[in-house]
Amino acid sequence: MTNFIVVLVCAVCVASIIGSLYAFGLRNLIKGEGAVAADGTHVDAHPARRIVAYVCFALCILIVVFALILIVPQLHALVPWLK
Amino acid sequence: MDIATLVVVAMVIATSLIFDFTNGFHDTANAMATSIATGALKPKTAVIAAGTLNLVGAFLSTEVAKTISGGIINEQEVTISAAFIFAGLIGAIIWNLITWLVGLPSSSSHALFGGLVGAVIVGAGVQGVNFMAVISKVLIPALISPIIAGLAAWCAVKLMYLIVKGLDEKRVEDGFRHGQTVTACLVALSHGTNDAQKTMGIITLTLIAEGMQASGTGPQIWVVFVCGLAIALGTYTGGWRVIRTLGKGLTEINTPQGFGAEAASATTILVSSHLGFALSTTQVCSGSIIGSGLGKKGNKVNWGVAGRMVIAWLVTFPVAGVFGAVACAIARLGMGGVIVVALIGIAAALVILRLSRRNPVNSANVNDSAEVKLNPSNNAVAAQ
Repeated sequence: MTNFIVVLVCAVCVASIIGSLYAFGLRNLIKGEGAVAADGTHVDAHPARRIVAYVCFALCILIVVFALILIVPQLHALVPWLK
Repeated sequence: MDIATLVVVAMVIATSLIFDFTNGFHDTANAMATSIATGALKPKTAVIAAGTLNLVGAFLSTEVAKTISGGIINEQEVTISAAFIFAGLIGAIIWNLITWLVGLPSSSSHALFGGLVGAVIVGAGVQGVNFMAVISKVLIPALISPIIAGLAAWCAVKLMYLIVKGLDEKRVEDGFRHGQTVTACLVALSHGTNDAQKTMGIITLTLIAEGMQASGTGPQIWVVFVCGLAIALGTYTGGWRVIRTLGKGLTEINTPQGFGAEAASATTILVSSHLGFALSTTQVCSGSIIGSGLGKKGNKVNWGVAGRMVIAWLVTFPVAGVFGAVACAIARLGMGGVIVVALIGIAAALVILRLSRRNPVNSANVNDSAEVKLNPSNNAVAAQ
């Protein structure tokens, strides 16, 4: 039963973290782009928000790489504590 | 070795590969149903990707292949003949085809274990089955895994919608489409590493049991290749009926929900595998799709379909077991019995395939479903 609770906690945390990171990255990417508003005024781009977005996406990629390491046994040697 | 044994071994190998094929097309939906339903991937592209990743996955690990049933059958205490395995496989294939016909996602692993357990009980007695393992590896995970995955997907989807609140829905849909493709591919790869190995294990143990391979050795490279190819071809064929049920029949989902569902599925499968107990991919993916459906405000879940699915999960093991037991009772009569079982299996498969042609589901109409009405918000997005 303990194992199932561990899986539950890990699954909820990791899925929430990766989902939130991606959504946060997407929010910053969209908000960081310059646009023309409905009234014709120009909204400036926010480079800082775009950088935050790319950092979020990079973290998501890191999580995916870690998932690949978990899937491929030959890669387990890259992460000593997985053994 | 006499010719009769050689024929039975050849039939076990052929039947194992057919089971692997049905496993592939039954489980395409697990990885790709949401991507196809949301339009993140075109149906044909999705099944090509899933098939390729299943083939790659088959070559990545052979750890699971070392045991035929994960401890459910006491392989050390009873002598399991090739005829028992053949009977168990026939039981599992027939159940897989029946559930495919009605479009219900059921666990291929549970069907295989059920078929083998039924065959072993008839062939070698109840002492051949570890019933505690049946409870801990089949019954409890069947009840708990969809809840875990569903809760994970629900939390992820709730948070995602909170974060992207107020943004242009079309942009959000497009943004999540890319992420969903990646998470779906992760699920397909992890499926390939797990499921192809079951048949590798069956073929290897059959070869060992009949003295064609040294005891204690792993699957030979040709076994790995043919098993990988069989599951990949099955996946490529696409179990469109099950894809429709999971993608459109349970709930109406869009790309953020699909992303959340796939992320939750991949996480649950990988964490549980790493901790040493494999949950059914089918049950995990189904649970996460329901969770993602509930995670969006105002979204509906078709509880009628969900209920039928749960019933299918619960009866998969015993019904496949009954099929396996009946097949074994006939197969143990000798070579003639084995041939009769093979003919019954072929006849059952042909009848099921013929019935499926009355209401064909394919890549062209997989997303047509009247089970769940589109949500108004999704209609708005789709219209843009």
